[in-house]
Amino acid sequence: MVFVNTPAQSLIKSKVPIEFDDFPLVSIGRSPENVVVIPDQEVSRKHAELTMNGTKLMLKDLNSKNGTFLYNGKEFQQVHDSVEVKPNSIVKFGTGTIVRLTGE
Amino acid sequence: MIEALDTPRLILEAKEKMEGPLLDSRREKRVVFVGDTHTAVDITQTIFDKYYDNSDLIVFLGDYVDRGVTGVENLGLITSKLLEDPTKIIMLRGNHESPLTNPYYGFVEEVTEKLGEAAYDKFKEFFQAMPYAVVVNGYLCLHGGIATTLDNVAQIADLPFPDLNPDDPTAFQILWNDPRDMIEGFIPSVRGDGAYYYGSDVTEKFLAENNLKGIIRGHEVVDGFREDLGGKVMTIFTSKYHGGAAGVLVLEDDKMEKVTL
Repeated sequence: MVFVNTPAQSLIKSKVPIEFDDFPLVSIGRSPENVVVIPDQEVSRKHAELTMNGTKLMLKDLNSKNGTFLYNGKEFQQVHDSVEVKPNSIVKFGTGTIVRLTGE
Repeated sequence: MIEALDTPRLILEAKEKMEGPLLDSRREKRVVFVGDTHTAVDITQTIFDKYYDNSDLIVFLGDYVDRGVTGVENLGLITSKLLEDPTKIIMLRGNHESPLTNPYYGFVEEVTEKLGEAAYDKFKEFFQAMPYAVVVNGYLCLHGGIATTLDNVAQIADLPFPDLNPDDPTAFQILWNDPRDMIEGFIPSVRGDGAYYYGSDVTEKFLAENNLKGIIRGHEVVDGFREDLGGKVMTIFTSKYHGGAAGVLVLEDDKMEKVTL
């Protein structure tokens, strides 16, 4: 995934490789124990997770305080529980962090 | 040395020199581009000391006030130089030259303390007279960026003007949008309703259709500079409250040099 925006400006444009072989469940959040750590106060400690379900990439919101949102080409729609995400989807975590889930 | 008390007179005189939302295109030999200074009057002074005499034009990309306590002096210094030679200084408007931000980021409080409550009206007069954009040596200079509703540069000249906040969606986006070359199209920005990120495809299309070399803008806190689209979109930040570098771009003939102050 690549950071489109986040309060830590130096992370913008930076890429984080997601390897499901290494981590079948990619946890995303503010605490250091997550696979993807996002230093953003508006992101929950354990915010969301990505998993591969067969060939489907699934995104699940973990009842985060400020929500997880999937861009539908027009607006960011809140993710309730779990949704399938396609390559190149744009996802917002909380209010200030946006990532793009790049290919493969 | 500029005193805060001089600034109201200077900005009202400078207002008379403003020429609408889009300035006439310029072609100059040596040009210096300055990003957000946000009250850093000492950095502004350094820029004039270093470049005023040996450059043909200095373009300020907006955001002179808020986030500090010397915005009045910063505006006074830049307008005093503009009045000295209006052909040599361009002052574009930033999203912080607006009552949308000034009550929340310190400038209204600063003005009230130094000049009294009524004085802020004079700043509003000045802010709404400031231009949004200019093309210099083939680079579109503006504070934020291109807009969902903007197809060509010439449209900027026809935007409603003056527009205090501004409320016009195109003018608002010019002051508030940010470039993101890892996306395509426009997507809503975390800055709030009406602001967008502009992606690689829409930027390339805009540059090609308007025969532009690139975009030079401010608006984002970066460590001096950030390049998008392989350097076709340059972000400059020229303050120091963020703890990073204050940068300026120096364009001489076709050579672009990044200078950290």
